[in-house]
Amino acid sequence: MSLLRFMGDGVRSMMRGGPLYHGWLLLLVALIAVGGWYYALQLREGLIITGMSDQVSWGFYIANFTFMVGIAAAAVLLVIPAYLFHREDVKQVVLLGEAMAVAAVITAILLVVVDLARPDRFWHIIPFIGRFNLPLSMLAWDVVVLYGYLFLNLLIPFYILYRHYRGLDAPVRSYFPFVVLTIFWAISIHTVTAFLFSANSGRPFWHTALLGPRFIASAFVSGPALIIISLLLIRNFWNYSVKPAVIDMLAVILMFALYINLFFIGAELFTDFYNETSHASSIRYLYFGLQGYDGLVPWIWTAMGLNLVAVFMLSFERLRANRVTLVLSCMLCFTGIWIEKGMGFVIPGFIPTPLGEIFEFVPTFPEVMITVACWAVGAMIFTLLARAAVAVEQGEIRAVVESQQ
Amino acid sequence: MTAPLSVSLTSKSIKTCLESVRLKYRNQFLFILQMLFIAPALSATGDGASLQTEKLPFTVESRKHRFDYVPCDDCHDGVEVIPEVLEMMADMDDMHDMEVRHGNADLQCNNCHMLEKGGSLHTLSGKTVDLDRAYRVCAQCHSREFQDWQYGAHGKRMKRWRGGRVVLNCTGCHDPHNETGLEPRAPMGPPGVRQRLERQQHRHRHGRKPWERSE
Amino acid sequence: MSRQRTKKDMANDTDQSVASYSRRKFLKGLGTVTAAAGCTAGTKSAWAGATLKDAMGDFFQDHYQRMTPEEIADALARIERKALRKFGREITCTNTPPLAGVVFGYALNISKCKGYRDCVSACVRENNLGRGGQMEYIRVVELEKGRRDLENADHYYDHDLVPQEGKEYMPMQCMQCEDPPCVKACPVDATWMEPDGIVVVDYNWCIGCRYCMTACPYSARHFNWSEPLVPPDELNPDTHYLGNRPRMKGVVEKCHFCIHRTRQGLQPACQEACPTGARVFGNLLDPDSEIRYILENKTVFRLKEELGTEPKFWYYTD
Repeated sequence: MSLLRFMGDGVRSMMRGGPLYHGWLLLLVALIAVGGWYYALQLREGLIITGMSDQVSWGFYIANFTFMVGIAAAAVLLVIPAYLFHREDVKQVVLLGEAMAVAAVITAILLVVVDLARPDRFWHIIPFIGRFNLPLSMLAWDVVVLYGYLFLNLLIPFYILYRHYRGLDAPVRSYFPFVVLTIFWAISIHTVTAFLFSANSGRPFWHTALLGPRFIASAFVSGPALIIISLLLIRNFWNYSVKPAVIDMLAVILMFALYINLFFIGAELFTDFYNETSHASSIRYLYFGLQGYDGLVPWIWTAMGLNLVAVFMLSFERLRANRVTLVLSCMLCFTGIWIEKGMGFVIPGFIPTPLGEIFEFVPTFPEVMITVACWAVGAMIFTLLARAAVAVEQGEIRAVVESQQ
Repeated sequence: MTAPLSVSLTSKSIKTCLESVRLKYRNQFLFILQMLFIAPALSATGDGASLQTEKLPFTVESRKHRFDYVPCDDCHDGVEVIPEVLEMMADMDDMHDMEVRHGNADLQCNNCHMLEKGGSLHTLSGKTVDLDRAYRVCAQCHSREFQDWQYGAHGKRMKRWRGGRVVLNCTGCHDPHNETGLEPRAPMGPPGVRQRLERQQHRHRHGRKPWERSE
Repeated sequence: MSRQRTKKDMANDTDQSVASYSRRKFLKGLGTVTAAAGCTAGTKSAWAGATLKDAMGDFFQDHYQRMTPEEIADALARIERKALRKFGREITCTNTPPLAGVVFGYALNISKCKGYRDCVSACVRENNLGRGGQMEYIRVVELEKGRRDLENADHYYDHDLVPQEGKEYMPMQCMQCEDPPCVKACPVDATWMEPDGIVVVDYNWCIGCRYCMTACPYSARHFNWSEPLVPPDELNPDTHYLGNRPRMKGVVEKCHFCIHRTRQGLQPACQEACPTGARVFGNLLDPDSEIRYILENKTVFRLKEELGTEPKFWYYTD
C-alpha cells in the first residue's frame, strides 16, 4: 500500500545525509542516552535526585516545559500568513514550522512525564479509563490541548506530504477547517499553560491577568527566533528554498513581540514596586534578592540585557537584513526568553512560600541531563521530520506511479 | 502533659515522718466519700457561676487524692503548727516550701484555704469549696477564664472530642501559689529539610519593630 | 464499610454508628475473594505475601470512590500485607466512613501556644510520617509581637526556652478548606473533600504531578521525594486508607485531622499532645460544641481569609 511505502520512504530519507548530519544525530542520541540513564536512576530513587523540595515543588522540568509550549505555539506565525493571507512563500516553509510544533509539543509532554513522580500510574489520566478532572483542573485541560495540538500538527502535514509524495495536489480547501482549528488551538495551548499558573490565587507572582498575554508575547519571540535559525540552517544544508521575505517577516514579528514583551515586563515592575505589598516578594526576590537570598538575580538581569540588546539590534532593518546580526539577535533573545520564562518564571513563584519561607532551588546535574535529553529528543524529532518533509517537497522521494492509479 | 504544680514537690522526704501511708489512705477514703456528695455539694454553692443549680455538663478530673498536705488540721491548729509536728520538723525551715506569689495579688494562705474542715477552700463570702472544685474560688476573680473554661475555649479537653467531656481543674495546669502559668521549656526541634538538601542559612532579616522608624 | 474496632473504647459514644462486620473478613474466611482484575483470587494465604499479585492488584486498582466494597477490601488487605512485608509489623487498615451529622472544625488559641512543637512530633509518630526529611504536617512559626506578617516569621526557631520574650507562636497545618484549591487542581481527582469536611488523598491514585502543592495557599501539602522511612518499631498499626496507612514514594500527603482517630470519636494527635489546651476540635454542626462556642464568642480569624478558601481551621485569642 502506498501509505506504507510513503512511511518507509520517509523514514529512509531521514537517514540520508552527510557526515555532519549523522554527527548531529549521533550527538543527540548520546545526549538522550545519558539522560535516559539518569531517568532510570530517577525511576529507582524518586524525584529526590532533583533539587526540588516541598518549598519549590516545580523546578527545572516544568521551567523548560513552560518555555517549550511557547515554541510549539509559535508555529501559528507561519500558519496564519500561509493560509489566511495566502503567502505562497510562507506556504513553502509552513510544513517545517509544523514539524517544529510537533517536536516542541512532544518535548513538552516528555518534560511533564519526567516530572511525574508516578509514571507507572499514567493510565489514571486517560479519560474514561482513568479519572480526568475536567472541567476544573487546568492541568487536565493542558493534557487535552497538548495532545490535540500534536494530533493537528501531525494530521495536516501528513496529509499534505502524502499527497505530494503521490504527485498530487493538496488543495487547501480540503483541510482548511483544520487549519483554522490549529490557529485557535495554538493560542489555546499557551493560554491554558498560562492559566495553569495564573489560576493559583495563593501565588501572587503568577496570579495576574497579564500572564496569558505575556506568555503569548514571549512565545512569539522565542518561537520565531528558533524558526529563523532552523530555516537558515535548512536552506544552507539541504538547499531548500526559503525565500528571504519569509525570514524578514518572521524577524519583524519577532521584533514587535519582543517590544510588547518588554512593555509587559515594565508594566509588571511598575505595578509591583510602586506601592510594594507582600505580593511583590517574589518579584523582589527575582530582581533584587530577598533577605540576602539572591540566586536568580544575575540570571534575570542577564536575560534583561540580552533581550534589550536583541530588540535594539532588531529595530534596524539593516541589521535584520544582515543574516549574521539577525541570527545573533535571535540567539540572544532566545536565551533571554528561556531564562525569563523558564527558571525566572517558575521558581520565583515558589519563593517565598505561601507561609513566607525562603528556600532556594538549584537544579542538580541529573535533573539538567534529563532535561537536556528531552531537548535532544525534540531536536531529533524536528530534524527527522524536517528531513523527510524536505525530501518530499524537493521531489527526492516519490511514490512509484501505478498503472491502475 | 500537664505540670502538676501541687505542693507535693518536696514532700517525699517528709512523708516518712508524717505517717504518709495513713494520710494517703485517709485521703482516698475521704475522696470516695466526697464523690458521693458531689451533686448536692455543687448545687449548694451560690457564688454566681451559671452552673450553680445544675449538674456539671462535663466531668472534672479529680486530683485531690494525689495531695499530701491535706487535711491541713493534721498538722495545723489554725495558722499555728501543732507543737509535736513542729518538733519532728525541726530541721526543715518551710514545710510547704513556698511563698504565695499569685500574680500581683496580695494573698495569703487563708484567703483561699480553710485550715479547718479537712483542707477545703472557701469563697470570699465564706462558702466551703472542695479542693476538686477549686475553679469556684478561681472564678471569683478570673470570671472570664472561667466562662471560657466552662464552654471549652480555655483549658485542655482530655480523651475524646465527642461524648462525655472531661477537663482538668484550674489547678491541674496552673499553680495558684507560684506564678500561675506553664513553665517555659525547650521546644521540640526545628523542621527538617528534604533529604540530600542543605538547610539554607538564615541571612539578614530586619529586626526593626513596626514602631521603630527607619532613618 | 467499617470494621469492629475492638481495640478502641467506644463505650462513651452513644451515637456511634453500628460497626458492621467486614465483608472482607467474611469472604476471607470463606476463602473466596473476587478481585477487580482477577489478580487477587485465592488470598487465603494472605499473610504469606504474593508480591506479584499484589503489584498487579496495586497497578489496576481503581479510584477509591469508584471501587466496590470488595475491591476496597482487597485494597485494604494488600496494604496490610505490604506493611507486613516492608516493616515486619501487622497493621490494620480500615476505611471507616464519615460520621453522620459531623463536619469537623479546629480552633487554635494563639494566646496560649507556647511554641513547644509537641503537636508536630505527636503527628509525626501517630501518622507514620517518613523520618529524616522534611515531612511534617504541622509547621509552627515564631512571629514578632507587633506584626503578624508571615514574611518575617521564623520557621526554624530553636531556642533553649520557649516562649521567648516578645514573640508569638502560630502552628499551621492543612486548613481543610470548604472550597479547596487543591481539589480543583488535581488532574486525576486523587484528592477530594469527604462529607465530614476532611480533604483526603487517595495515595494509590495520585500520579505525583504536585499541582495540588502549587495550588495550596497554606503550604499544607507535602511530597514523598523518596521512599518514606518509618522505623518499624515506631509504626502506628491503627491506620485508615485515606489517612495514616503507610505511604509510598512519589505521592502527596497532608494532615487529615487524624481521620483514623476522629471518626472513632478520639481527638487528633496534635490536640491530645498539646499541653496548654490551645487546640480545640469538634463538630461544627453541633451548636453545643466547644468549637462553636469559640467561633461565636471569641475573636477569631482565619489565615488568608481574603482568598475565599473558607478554611475550617480558625485561630482565636484569649
